[in-house]
Amino acid sequence: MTTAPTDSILAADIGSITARVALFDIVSGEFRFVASGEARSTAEPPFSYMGEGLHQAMEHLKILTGRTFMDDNDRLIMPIRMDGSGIDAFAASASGGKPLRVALAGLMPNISLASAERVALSAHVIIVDRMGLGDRRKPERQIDDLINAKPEVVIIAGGTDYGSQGAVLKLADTVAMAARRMREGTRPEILFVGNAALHEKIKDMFTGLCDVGVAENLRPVLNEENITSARRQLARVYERVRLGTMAGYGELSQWTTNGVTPNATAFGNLVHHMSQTTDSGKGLLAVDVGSASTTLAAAIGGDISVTVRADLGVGHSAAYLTPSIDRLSRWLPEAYPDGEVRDYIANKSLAPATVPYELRELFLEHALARQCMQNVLQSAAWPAKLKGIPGLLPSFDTIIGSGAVLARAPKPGQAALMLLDGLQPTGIVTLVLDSHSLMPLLGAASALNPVAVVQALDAGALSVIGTAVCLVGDGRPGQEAVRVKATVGDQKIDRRISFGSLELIHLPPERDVKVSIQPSGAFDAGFGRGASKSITIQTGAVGLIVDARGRPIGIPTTADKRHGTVSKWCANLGEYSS
Amino acid sequence: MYIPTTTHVSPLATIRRERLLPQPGYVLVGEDERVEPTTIVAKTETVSRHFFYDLTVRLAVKAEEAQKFLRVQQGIAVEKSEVIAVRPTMLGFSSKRVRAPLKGTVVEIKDGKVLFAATGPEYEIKAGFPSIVSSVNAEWGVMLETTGALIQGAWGSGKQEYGVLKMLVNDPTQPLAAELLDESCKGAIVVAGTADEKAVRLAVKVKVRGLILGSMSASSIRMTRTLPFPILVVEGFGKRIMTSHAWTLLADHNGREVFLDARPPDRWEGRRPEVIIPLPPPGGMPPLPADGQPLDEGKRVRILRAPYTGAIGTVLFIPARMQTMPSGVQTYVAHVELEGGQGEVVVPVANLEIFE
Repeated sequence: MTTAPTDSILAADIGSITARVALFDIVSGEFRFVASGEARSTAEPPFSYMGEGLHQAMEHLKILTGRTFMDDNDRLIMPIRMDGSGIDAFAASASGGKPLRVALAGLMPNISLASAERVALSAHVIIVDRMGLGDRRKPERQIDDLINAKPEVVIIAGGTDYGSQGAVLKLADTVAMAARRMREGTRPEILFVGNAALHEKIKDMFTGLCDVGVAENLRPVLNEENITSARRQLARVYERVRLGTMAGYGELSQWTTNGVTPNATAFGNLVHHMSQTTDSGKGLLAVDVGSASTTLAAAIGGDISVTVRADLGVGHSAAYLTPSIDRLSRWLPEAYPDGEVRDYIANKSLAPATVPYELRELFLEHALARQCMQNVLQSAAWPAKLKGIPGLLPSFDTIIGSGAVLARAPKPGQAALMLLDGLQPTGIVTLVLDSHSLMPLLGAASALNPVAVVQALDAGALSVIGTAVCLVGDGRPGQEAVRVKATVGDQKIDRRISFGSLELIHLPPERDVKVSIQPSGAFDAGFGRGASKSITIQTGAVGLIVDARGRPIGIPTTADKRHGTVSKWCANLGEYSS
Repeated sequence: MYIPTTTHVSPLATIRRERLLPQPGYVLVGEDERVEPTTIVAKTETVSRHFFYDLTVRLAVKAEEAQKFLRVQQGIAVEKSEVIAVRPTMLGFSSKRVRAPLKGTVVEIKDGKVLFAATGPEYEIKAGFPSIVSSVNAEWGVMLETTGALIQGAWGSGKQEYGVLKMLVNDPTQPLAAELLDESCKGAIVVAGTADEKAVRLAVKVKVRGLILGSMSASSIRMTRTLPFPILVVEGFGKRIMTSHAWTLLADHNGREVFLDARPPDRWEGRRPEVIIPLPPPGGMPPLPADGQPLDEGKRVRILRAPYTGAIGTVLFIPARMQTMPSGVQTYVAHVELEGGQGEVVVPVANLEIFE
């Protein structure tokens, strides 16, 4: 890590839809987020050159700030000049390009193969084949399938450190045999993350055939998982194989001190950084719902898990949600004729950059976002230290929502509703919004100047939506689930919230307010069933949200009743109006 | 500056299209050569599947001895049923044999195990439309060039076909009706406003060569994967009416041979499904379609989303500030004068594509 003496930082993120730059500068002695500029990403055809979109985003930022960043020769001005033009440091992240095609080879399906899958899902990849001891395919079929899958990387895992070697070598030999049958130039890179005693043998096996990278064993002993080293190594492979081959990468890379960080890694880095710098008993969860992919990062005390689903998104990847149409439609507050949802999803995939003009389409867009979050949870990996109720989302005290669908929600309450429905947290949670889409940029900048990132966060680079009390428990509709009391100045608040409802208690914005949470006997607000507590909450933009819908959220099955219930939730919290 | 996608519905353009193999092979045509739709421009060998034979089991020999029982050389092609390995038994009166399951090659022998690769069918690429080979990419394929009309679509079911264009209905609102599908449609690339699954199945029966539709239901996507012919959807899914520009252009060339490339859109390759109608240039070469143009005043655009889906117009001006849409979304907008005297509308720039 390089920590440069910097007074101003320009951070950039090149995504599949948007190229974004953000300026961080010292204001009153501390780093602040100043402004961000954006343009349509040009990483994909017809430009296939990420530099064009970046230049346009800088032009936008120039209009907003009056500051010049590029010289007459289209070169970044660095360091800052006497006339105020330029910047001191530049950081960048990028996610453009196809997901990396990754095949997994491991021994036990629930052990090394499962760990390898968690490593793979920490980057922008699609898993194209899985090979293991539980595999019922004949070896020749495994070879055919691996060749046809056209992997760019094969992650080979298995064996405890210095344990038995035969099975792993046999597995690697099958991979090598398939690689020999692939044409030169199309052979995958090998990432070996198994028994450490085999590093040299594996390198020898693939000499002259495939590039081999090694990382620490995912399972140094059977009951211990260590994916940090492998995750970092995979991020490097992604950067080299995918980002490194994109036009404009070289220019972008030259400007940075620390290289171009893959978007998901930058996102994870920031969450990791935040979890280290906040003294939280519970964890921090961040979700980035993008056009092409959805990323989930969960951290506690510096221990982090990142899950990237390159097939889940509200734009390019929307069509992959078609099989989830019934579940997605649960979130709609009104009836849509047969086929309309399916047509909408298919059209959105074809024109991913488009935005909802009518309220009816906004409901659909927000339903897509909820379902992306629901689906990413199915593949999520969690840090071991996280606690919670089995079968439900682990306990977090902060949840951050990122991605345009959340950040651009017309009302902060709508973003809160998407997060509550999509993730279904439990207990007391502060909901935060990455309203300027800064997280990957801050993550990339954190490697450059961590202090600047901390100060920018403290100064409000992310915005608090409000605090949610999410009750776990079951009851009769209308039965009191919780009583909430608070005193704000002269105003005394005493509300009884019934089971099945979602209520917003308006409190003065951007304040810390002490509230008393008193759940009924059957309900748990994170302190134990029926246990009460007085806590200080951040009111943020909307106030205190009481989610007494139970976990998982009970949604009526009949259409009329469901539409009535969901529209009430939308009205209470989302303030949807045309 | 905002750079939207560009859709081309052009009566005459210079069209260049690559024809590349998925893996290295042989290019069969030369630069400046004239090719026809069915001309094979490049081909490559494929492997259909692999077979493993453990000689230690099949011949009952030790792994280190296995090599000496092989009857074929590694890398040399053998015919189906040809003996790959044999070990005489019972003093030579009998033998244990391993025969080639198909035509193919022994590609590897290691630790007594033989890996056999069965030869697959040759993978060939056809030109698809009459054109000139403008350049050759050795071992990979060619760039073809022609002049003609170009209609880019929104979605394709896969496959490519070349055939006679047949306008089956009179206007773009009319669906493909069962009673219109008769013997005259056999081998034709049929155009209609839309089609339900029943009509599409009838089209299979009369052996049409392809369908060009304004729109169709997304629920039919799965069905289209099993069809023997390609379907190209010009506007998108749902009830979208084909723009009069595309409809008229197709109608103008009714009865002419067209190339239908209904491969699905590929954003990384920059590929769109399209119809190419080869036409001789009236004079010099017409221009190449231009992509990646900024949205600007005076640009002709098509609206991609409700409430003006499919409408064509001209950008009047683009305000510098964002505006709030009826959905509540704040976004940059453009003022667009719709064609046909339908008036001026305000549309998010993100919902526009350049249309030319």
